[in-house]
Amino acid sequence: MSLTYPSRLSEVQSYFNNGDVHLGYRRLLDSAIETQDSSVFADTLSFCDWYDDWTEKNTGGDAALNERVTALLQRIGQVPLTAAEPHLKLEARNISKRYQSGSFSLSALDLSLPAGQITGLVGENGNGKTTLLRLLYGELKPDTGRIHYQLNSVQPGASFYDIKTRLAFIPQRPAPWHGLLMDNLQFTATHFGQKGRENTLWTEMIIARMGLRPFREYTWSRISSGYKMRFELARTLIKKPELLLLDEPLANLDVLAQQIILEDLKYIARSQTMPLSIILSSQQLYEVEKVSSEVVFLQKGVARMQNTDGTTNTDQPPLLVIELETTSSREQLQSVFAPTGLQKISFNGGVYILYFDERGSIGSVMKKLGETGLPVRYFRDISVSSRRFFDA
Amino acid sequence: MFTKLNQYLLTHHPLLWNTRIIQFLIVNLLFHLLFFFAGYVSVNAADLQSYYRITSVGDGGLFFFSILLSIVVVITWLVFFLRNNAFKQFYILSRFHLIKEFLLITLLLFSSITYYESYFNGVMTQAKRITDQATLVREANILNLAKAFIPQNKGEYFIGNACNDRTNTDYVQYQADVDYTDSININQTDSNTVRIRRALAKPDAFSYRHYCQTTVNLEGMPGFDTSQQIREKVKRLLDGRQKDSIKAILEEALAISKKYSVNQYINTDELAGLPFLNPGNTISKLYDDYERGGSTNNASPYYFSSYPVRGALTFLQSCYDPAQTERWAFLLAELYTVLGIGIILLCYRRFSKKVFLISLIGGIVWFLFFCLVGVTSQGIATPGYLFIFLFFLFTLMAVVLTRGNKGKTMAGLMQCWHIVMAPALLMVIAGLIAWHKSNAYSLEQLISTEEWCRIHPVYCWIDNNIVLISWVNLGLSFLYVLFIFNAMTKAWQVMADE
Repeated sequence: MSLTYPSRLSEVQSYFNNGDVHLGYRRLLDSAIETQDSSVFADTLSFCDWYDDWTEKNTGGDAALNERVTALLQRIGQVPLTAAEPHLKLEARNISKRYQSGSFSLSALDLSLPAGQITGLVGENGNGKTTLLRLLYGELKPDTGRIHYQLNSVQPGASFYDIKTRLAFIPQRPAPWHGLLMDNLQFTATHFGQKGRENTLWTEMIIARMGLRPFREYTWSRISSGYKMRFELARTLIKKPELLLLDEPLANLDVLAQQIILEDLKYIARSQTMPLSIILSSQQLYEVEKVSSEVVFLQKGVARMQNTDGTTNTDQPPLLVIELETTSSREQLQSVFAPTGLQKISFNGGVYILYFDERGSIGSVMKKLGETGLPVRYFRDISVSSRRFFDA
Repeated sequence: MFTKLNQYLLTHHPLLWNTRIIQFLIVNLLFHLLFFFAGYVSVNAADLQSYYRITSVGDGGLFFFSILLSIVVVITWLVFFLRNNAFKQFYILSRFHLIKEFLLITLLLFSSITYYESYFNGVMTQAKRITDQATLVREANILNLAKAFIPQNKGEYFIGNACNDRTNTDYVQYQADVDYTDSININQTDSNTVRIRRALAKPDAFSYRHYCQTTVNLEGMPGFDTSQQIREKVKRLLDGRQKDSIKAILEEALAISKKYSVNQYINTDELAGLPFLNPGNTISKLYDDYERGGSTNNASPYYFSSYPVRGALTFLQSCYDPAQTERWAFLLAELYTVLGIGIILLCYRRFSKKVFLISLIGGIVWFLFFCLVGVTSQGIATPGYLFIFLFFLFTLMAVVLTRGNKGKTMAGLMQCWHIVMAPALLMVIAGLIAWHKSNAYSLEQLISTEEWCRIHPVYCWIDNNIVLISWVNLGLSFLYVLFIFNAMTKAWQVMADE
């Protein structure tokens, strides 16, 4: 659900009121970034300095924090915003790719990437995720079909180089940076039109937003893989791209960082002034599904689209599918769940996948589990998750 | 200050920041000043006699030190410059970004490999301070006039050698150490010998009046006396029996020699009187042109060494000569070096590392191949035509592959190889034409050069204007890289991999 700007600010205030300070801090920076106003940036960065100091001392004093937050939110709320019209950023029709070696081919698929949305790209290794991303970025030439980019900041008839200035592709293993990280970010910002003081403010804002303030004077070799990905994201955001393609951005992040990054990406994509279309590939299926409007599941180069309601382009509305980790045997499971419409059991990745017919419901399954007392370590309804496609 | 400057450039002029051009130009300026100073202090009046021309100043050690310094500076610069590449990152670039980048690269390279030029400039500045142009001309005129009254070679005073005017029917090639009456060794029927013997029979065969020489030749410099004018001045002094004036001129010549630390030992009183000893102002005594040091009892203690003074003045002349052919040749070589290094650097900046490495290794293989073809074939025709064929093949393939968006690696290779070959193309064509000319000329050697040029005007023009062609080629190569190659690389950059 897209929030209007005042409600977003209220949401930020509520985070702080409820003691969810770190989330509130990030959303506060998001709100400040939305304004694209240098004086707001300056005030926000001043707040960041104070906040860092406050966090370090950890002396309590929530009242002082709330007071400053309220003042800053009022300041942000005074800036008039012009919401950008969300529209399609990319439309791919019937694109397919077969490598010359013949080892792999990506079957024809259609894809639309609208502004303000995240599209997840999942699938096992070697099933074409990176190939699809490289096709969309123009690094590979499709054998069939065509890709149409519709970018606000690029004039019609512009060269493909100009188009690519507004696309951002972050590979799984980003190339190393040289020199100070801050210099690299400012260099990027200058090329994208941020000059002088505005450059410094904009760069500092993004650095703060990505939680990189302590590392800005570091060099590439001094930071961990997770922070490298964050810096890469920071550099990308500085460019204000219209379409962001991320190849396994969560691979080097810890569990908490994965969730934070995904939530942040969702928020960034839904920016009211700079809506962004994001497509990201990942192995973190459930995390990606949580933030994605659409998930593309790739299996041996064939794509299945799945919307948030679980409907796909290839099959009927989903029936009940349960992922279950238990020490019970297959036979025990069959005997317990047969009356509730169990059709098939598959063992995959250390867990059982239970497929039910139209008689199956989550309530009846949970009731059976309770009645029989089966030892359950893990239970998940994956009826509307692309997890159900990962079949052994 | 550097930090502030750096920050300003980073947030306002990313290209200047990335190329580190300001910082390195300042460093290079300091090195140039150091080399200029080294050149300035390395020259004094006493040294000028040993130089003769500007490029003979200095020693090999300093030259190699300047090359070493250039390498260190360029490598250090590359460490900074190669850190960021906005082009490969698909950053927004201004319309002339790529052109400006190449110009900055060449500017930096040029300033980094021309330290020795500043050394020359330091030498020239000091030389000009020692002797300004008006003084130089005056000293040359005095020396040339004084030399007329210091006879050292009878041939210079011979009636038949007057003014070395080859249009003069009386002109003869007289050599003082040859006995023209020797019928055994000398062909007495030779027209030159006949004329010399006829002239030798005259009573004034060797007279001061026939002297028509310029020991120091500053032809083209305003105020310089030609040999004819020297002859007129000598005649006036003789006609007026101006013994004191001659003595004054000789003493001035001694002062000039002393200024350049050239030792002379002459008796000015005696020399001023010698022209008037005999009727017809004939030569009565010759002076040595070097110090014999009294090695034999009969040796004269007097001598006048004109060669070192002439060396000093000729060197000074080269400092004032705007043409300075040698230095222009140096500059041309330096600019071609800059262009070559710039192109290699550009290939690294514009293409992927894979393309660059393959093209580099392939380029070395091509070079060895051409050497092999050159060694095994006679003349330059085979490697020359092969070069032209390959250049056009690479260019055609680069255009076709890039426009067709097919074979990105191959397209990059073709682009790299064609641009490396491009600056040599015109010179190879000119070389082939010159080679054909020399072959044809050897077959038609019976005709004069003028006649040959009338028959083959194009060949002749190329042969006579190879330096001009080199400059034009250099300019065209720069323009090609700036406006054509840069556009090609931009098209390559957005090509799909497969």
